[in-house]
Amino acid sequence: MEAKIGFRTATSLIFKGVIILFAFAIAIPLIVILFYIIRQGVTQVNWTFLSHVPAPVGEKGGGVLNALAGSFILVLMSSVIAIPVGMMAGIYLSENPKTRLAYYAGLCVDILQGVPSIVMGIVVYFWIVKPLGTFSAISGSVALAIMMLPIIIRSTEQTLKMLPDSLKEAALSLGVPYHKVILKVIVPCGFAGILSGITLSIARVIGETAPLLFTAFGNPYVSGHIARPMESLPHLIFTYATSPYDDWHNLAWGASFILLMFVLVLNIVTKVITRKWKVQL
Amino acid sequence: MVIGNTSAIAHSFKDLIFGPSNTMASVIANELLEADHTEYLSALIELGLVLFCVTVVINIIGKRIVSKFTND
Repeated sequence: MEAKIGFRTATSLIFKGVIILFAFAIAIPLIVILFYIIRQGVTQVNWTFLSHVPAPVGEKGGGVLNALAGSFILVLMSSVIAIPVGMMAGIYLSENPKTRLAYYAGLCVDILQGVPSIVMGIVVYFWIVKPLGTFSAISGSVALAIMMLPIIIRSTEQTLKMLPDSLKEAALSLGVPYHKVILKVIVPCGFAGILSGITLSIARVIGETAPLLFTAFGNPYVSGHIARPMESLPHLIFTYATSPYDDWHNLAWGASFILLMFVLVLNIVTKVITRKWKVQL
Repeated sequence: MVIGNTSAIAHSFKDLIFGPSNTMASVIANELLEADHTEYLSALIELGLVLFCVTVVINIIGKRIVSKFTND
């Protein structure tokens, strides 16, 4: 009997050890990627790198200003498109969880979340790029906005569902109209959760290359024209990393470093927001 | 990008695992802007449709599994 108990404790200890090992193992790829990109990229980044457009092959200097500006404009425009729509859809889903429309809307959100990004690119190509006859920043941001929607909708819905009903009942009992209950009571109370959903969705789409290949397309100059092609960081990395020149590889490493840092900071901000306001996503 | 972008059916096991290949997504990404006639374009869009259908089916199966194992 004693021996059996010893065997059982031993196996459970071994199992526990294996689980802990795997818990550490998931951190290894992240650490390796971080260190490799930092080692390759941090030497590239300086003021010239941030304030110039890419130099032709063979010339010294050059930077990624066009991609930085382009990514900023693209994400800004897609946020402007996606945040109002996503928040309103999320409010509807949390207010009327039992209706048939809510069921199908939820199903659509789940499917939308699983759509491959390249399919999004192809669809927007035929919706906007073909009719307009030119690649444009606006079509790129539409593609990114569609990718942002599911995350914003789900986080809004989950946050608002966790708010206690008494909050709404109190407001309604004071005679506050329904739209004001939502705008002045429900949304401000769940603001932290919604905000963390938004930062998460931005962190998700800022690194997307596939939807931008056929829509924003890329541009070697700084451009503020939203009906013309525009460069973005992931697209610049994609084109320059597949090029045959060492200078351009270095440019891609530097751009990867900036993109990585940006996404890292956004994710940490999301974590801080969720921890500070005790939101669960 | 790292898959090698080669449209060929592997003839040996070694080729299948270690040789360059292609995925539906990489074919679309590489060839859509080179498609010069309608059939080519349509074929690539069809590939996009197949990819979409696969994800939808997997999503729905996933939803079924989740709803089966939650007690509601």
